[in-house]
Amino acid sequence: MTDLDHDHELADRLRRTLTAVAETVDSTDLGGSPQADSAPAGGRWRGPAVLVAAVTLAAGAAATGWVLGRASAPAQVASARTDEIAAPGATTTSTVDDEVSVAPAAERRSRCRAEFARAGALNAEAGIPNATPSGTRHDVEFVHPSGDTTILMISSTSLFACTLPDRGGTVLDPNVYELDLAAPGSDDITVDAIWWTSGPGTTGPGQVFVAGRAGDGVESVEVVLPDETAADVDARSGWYAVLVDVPADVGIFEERMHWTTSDGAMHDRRADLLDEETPDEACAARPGCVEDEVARLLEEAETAEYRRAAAVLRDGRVTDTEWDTVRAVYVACLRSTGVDIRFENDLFITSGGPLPADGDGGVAVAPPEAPECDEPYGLVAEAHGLLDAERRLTED
Amino acid sequence: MIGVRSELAQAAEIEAAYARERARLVRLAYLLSGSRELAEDVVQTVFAEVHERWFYIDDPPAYLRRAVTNRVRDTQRRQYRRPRSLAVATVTGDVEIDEMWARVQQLGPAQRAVVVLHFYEDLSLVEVSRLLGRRPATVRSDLHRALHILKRRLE
Repeated sequence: MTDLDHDHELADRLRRTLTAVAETVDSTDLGGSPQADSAPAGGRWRGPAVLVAAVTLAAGAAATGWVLGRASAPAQVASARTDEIAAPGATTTSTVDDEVSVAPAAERRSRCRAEFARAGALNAEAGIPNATPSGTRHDVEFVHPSGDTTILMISSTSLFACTLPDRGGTVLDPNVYELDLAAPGSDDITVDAIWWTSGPGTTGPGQVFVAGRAGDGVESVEVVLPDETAADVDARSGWYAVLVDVPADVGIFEERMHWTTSDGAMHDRRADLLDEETPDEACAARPGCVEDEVARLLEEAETAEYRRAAAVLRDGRVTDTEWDTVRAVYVACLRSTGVDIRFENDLFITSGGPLPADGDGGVAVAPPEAPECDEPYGLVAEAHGLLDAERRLTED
Repeated sequence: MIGVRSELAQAAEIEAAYARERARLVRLAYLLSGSRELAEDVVQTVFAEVHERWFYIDDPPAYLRRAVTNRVRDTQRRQYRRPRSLAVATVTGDVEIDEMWARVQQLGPAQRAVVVLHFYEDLSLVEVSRLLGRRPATVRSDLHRALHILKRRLE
């Protein structure tokens, strides 16, 4: 029992809820024994042969992420490739079926379409207006170098991504994602789906795929990687899809998206992302908004941990983006506790003036009393340590 | 012969652990992930991987719980930006419980893990922090934040 349990009603309700929901996992399905048998999955030990397949599928699922919405943080990329992507508006034919024993292409497409319809129905059920995609729909199917197949279903109001890992056999395990019905502004883009097979814990190079819709006036979309490698595609059809190769052990947590509009202007999504990471005054004025924002940023701090790990693994350096992010998280957290703080000219400045610099003349990160900000402080301190080490290395 | 006997003994122990622990672990994975399919796969994978180190594990139930929790978290890290539905789905038929479950599912992975491990597995915050490999202060902060969010959303 902790003092946090003092809200007995909430604690009791949580316990009852978790117990009741756990019990909905039918106990009759959860018996079984680890004896090899030929019974289908559903609680029975699946036997050695089937077990191997299950492990492969799980590993595939773990290494594959589909994400809707904004993405974050760049990663080092060895090279870019767009040749596997069909031209916008086109429909490609999978070449996997001829080479690997997987479910027929028609069956896979059918499964994705069913999921597409189900997602639309769920949205409608949830009361989301215009849940049914409308307008002309493009179905585009293409094969990743890994063999995974991706089907994009694009309408004027939505982009639905469905990927089918190529693991052999007839098991279909699509990663499907909800529809994003927010249309981009006329000169804007949306990032609707991000998928990657690289990142911490993986053993080989992977691919990163980004897809979304483009508003009227957007001519091309470009993903710019930290080493300045760029992969760009035409977006005049109203959508884009970019696939790039990435090295092992590097996660993709932020896309740097540039897009060009018909007037020749270049737009930069990264600038938008950074702007959004600090609660603004309007948010501060809305009850609960700052807390939500801080919760979101702290959730993303886990990503920062990954970035830091990736940076250390790479060459002991921390990038500006990592520094920007952990700093923004820290500042947001302190603000949520009532501390008036901002970051300016490499210093954290409170109402009492700049926090004292450390003995080496580096950026000070001494935290005001705010235990709930321990975690972001730790990230800031560690990022600062890396920056400081890098600075000394450069000076030497 | 000794090697064969050891392997047989190990197989029997794992079989017993599977029969004894699987239901509990699938339920835990389900509460952490919200997906029955993922829960089943995670537990199956953990048991498949445990063979090689079985005899080195002091406390199998605790080890399996940690392995399942970490594997679910690994998956969630790769999917953390998936939008969470605001809809209250019918899971148990009890409106109050279904509503709370919907709100729990909207929590971030870290907060959700702390809530499930503390309130369902009945672990102390120190035990939760050891299991998750996070500082006790951070776990405490996560729980505080999660309860605050749940309370506000339920209001």
